[in-house]
Amino acid sequence: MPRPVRWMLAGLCASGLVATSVSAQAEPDVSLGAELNIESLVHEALSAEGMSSRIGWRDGRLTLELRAERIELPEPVGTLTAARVECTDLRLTRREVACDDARLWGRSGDLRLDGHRLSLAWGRDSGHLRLAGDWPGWFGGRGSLRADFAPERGWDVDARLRGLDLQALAAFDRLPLELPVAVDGGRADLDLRLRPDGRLTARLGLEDVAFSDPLGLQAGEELRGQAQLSGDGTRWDLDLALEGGVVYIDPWFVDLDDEGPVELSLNGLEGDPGALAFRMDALDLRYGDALEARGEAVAYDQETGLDGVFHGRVHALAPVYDSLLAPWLAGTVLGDLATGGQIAGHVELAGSQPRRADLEWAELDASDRRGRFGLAGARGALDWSADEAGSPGTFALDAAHLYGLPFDAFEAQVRALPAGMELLAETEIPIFDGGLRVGAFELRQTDSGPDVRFEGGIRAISLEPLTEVLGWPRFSGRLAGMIPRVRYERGDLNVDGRLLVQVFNGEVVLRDVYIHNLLGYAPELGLSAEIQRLDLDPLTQAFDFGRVQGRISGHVRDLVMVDWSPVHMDLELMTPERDRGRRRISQRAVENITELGGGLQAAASSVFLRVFENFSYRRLGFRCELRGEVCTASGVADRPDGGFVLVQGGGIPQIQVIGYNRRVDWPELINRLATIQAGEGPVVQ
Amino acid sequence: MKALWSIPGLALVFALMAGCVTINIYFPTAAAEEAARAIVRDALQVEEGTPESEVSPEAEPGAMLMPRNTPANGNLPVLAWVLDRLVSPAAAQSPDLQIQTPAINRIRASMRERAPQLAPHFRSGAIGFGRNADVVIRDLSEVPLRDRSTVQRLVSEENSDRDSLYREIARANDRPDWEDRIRETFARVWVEEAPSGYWYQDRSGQWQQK
Repeated sequence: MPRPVRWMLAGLCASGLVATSVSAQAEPDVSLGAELNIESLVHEALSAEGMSSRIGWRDGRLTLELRAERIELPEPVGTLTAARVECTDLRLTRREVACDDARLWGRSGDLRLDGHRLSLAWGRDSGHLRLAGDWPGWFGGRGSLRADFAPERGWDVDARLRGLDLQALAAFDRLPLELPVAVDGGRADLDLRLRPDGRLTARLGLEDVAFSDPLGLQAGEELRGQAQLSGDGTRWDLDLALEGGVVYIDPWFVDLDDEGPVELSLNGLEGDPGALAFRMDALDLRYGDALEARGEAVAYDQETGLDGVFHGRVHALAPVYDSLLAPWLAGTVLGDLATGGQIAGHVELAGSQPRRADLEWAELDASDRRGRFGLAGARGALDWSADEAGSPGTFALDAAHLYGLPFDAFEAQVRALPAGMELLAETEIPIFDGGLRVGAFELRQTDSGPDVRFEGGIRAISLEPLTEVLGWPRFSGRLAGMIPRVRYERGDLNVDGRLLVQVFNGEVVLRDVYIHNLLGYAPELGLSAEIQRLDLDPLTQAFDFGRVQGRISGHVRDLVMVDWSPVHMDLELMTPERDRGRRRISQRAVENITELGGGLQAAASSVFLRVFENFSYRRLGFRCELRGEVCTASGVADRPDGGFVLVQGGGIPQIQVIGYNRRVDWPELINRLATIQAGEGPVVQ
Repeated sequence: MKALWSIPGLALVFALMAGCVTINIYFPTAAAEEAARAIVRDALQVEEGTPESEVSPEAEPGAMLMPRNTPANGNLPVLAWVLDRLVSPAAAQSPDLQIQTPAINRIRASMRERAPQLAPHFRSGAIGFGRNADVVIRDLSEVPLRDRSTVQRLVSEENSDRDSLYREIARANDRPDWEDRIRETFARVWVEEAPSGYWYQDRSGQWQQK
């Protein structure tokens, strides 16, 4: 019960008692003073000490004065001291004791009444009490109060208060609840109506409210809003609307002026605040024009958790993502997206565990601002149940990319499983002129992590656009292969099977492909490859490295690329033992690789370089053991002087290219190759 | 048999046991501290002379050497030159703790880029160094409301980077089990290297100002 009501009750009860005793003794003509000393007065929760009363007759009017040194009232009012009620015009009739101009004095802590005016009336037979007056100005507010009491009906209280200073109210030392935040300012208007049947209606208007917790993790400024509470003491309806201002509830910041009001309605709320349990018929939440959510039959209990059916609709993903999702996802792969689209769905919770859900999305765009991945025009629908496989749904999109590798539009028939999802029909995801064929796909969440089942293959993709996207020198060829299985183990995505790259008239067979931390800072790709009879002629032309004719075979074992740069591999490329083809190397190619060993050998052979345009060779080859950024190099043969032969000449004129540097810095090598590619080719004079 | 129980025999047994134990828990404390210091100074953009230059690839004055090794036209034996002269940076790599990998470099670059945005909040005391080698919000009340989610985002991203950094250093040295030790080392070094006025959490989690 609000404090002023209690205050007035105290005075009223006391005056009622006195009036009763007076009327019994001195009726009908009262012309003498009467004094009553009551040592202790107990009336329900009220106990008073040092009480005295005096009734007098002055100027033809009956007067009443009632004093109490100390009245104990329930919290939050607490102890009243120096309480006094004075009435200079007590009207006594057979039916009623009334005073239209009573004055109240008293003190309770910082709150004072100093001759505050009040009108009081007591029905002698009916027992009706009535009091009315202005708000005593506490907490900077103004307004009016009225309270009626009828024994057969109970209280009817009406209070209309304006301009309450929330900071002063929050600083009030007998506030019944402890606020988790400090209120730094704000004004409130309160309309309160307590009806005899016990129904309470309270309407609170807030203006310019500022609050903050000690660490600034929950704070608001210039907040404007409305709250309306109505109920009968057990069931409540609550409507909350925050209409303006800014609020930060870690980690979320919402500018209500920009993003529209946040409205929350709770209907049929019943609860036990002590046990932290509640239930309600319905819950509605609106976040500007962007988000709507509704909960039905919502119940929460600390032991059993949350139950209910929740519907949600995101009309515009961008503001919802930016304000609500991004702060929460910051630092994760999904923490920095540009988004758009609509999502709708519903979920049924039982004991905080989802039982059924469905989700529908349309025109969904999401692209990573760091450029790692993106998708556009996604649409689809899925339903899910904790007990059985869902009904067939779809997953479709217009375009997507992964590190710039584009995927074209596709639509997949999928179905949600209790702990995963599966593909219902074979689907092809187009990539350039080919695609990724997905014959079977199933993803299950197990105790040890996600379990992936994948079966499919790559339908010939041209290398020309692929190499362009990857920023490599352009060359033609095709990539194809079978992927019988994909496994996910300890964060690694392992691709079983072999991928065939048909390139430069030869073949490269990839196997043991794995990807670790694909979307992280340091995506790691590992594979091994067998390289069979690549034609050096188109290869050297593609890399613009001078012309070499012949074939080359070899392997890459245990290649590990971190952030798309190799950090580990054992590479071997050699002229095949039984190669019958033409083996020639141009002057420029020799120039480019001659000084691998530097020094005298290069100088000696340079005489030939100026005379002949092409040389024939018997074998050429290069081995590299890459560890970190250091490549330990060797060639087709070692020499006693510590060098290694990169090109073994054949016929006349015979050339030999010999390397002496066995430790090579790999990133620099790649940089320089790129420089040659960029067109700054060597010029031979 | 008797010889086994003699004092030299026992000493040998203990020596072997101690040897085994030492090998198992070996952690290159000094190297880790040096590496952490280099990374931390770099990330905090500390101005003074740093030991970082010893491990930084940028410290190789590569471009300056180019004219000396190449003919006047400057382009003929480019490839050979590169292969010839790049022995030294490879050899200069610290054998104790590898901190030069593409992943670590990329994480460090990301942290370096974020440093100027975090610095004013470190100075104001809004954020500080946590005892787990992370960044912790200390008191946002002086930060304008509108900027608080930005600070929170920077902190989340920084901590995500730091987690990746400690994990990657352990991984780069093929010792994922070192991650905790690396984190402990960094927790100490972040505080040691922090400019005065910055706040940090002591071992009990209490805030202290440097």
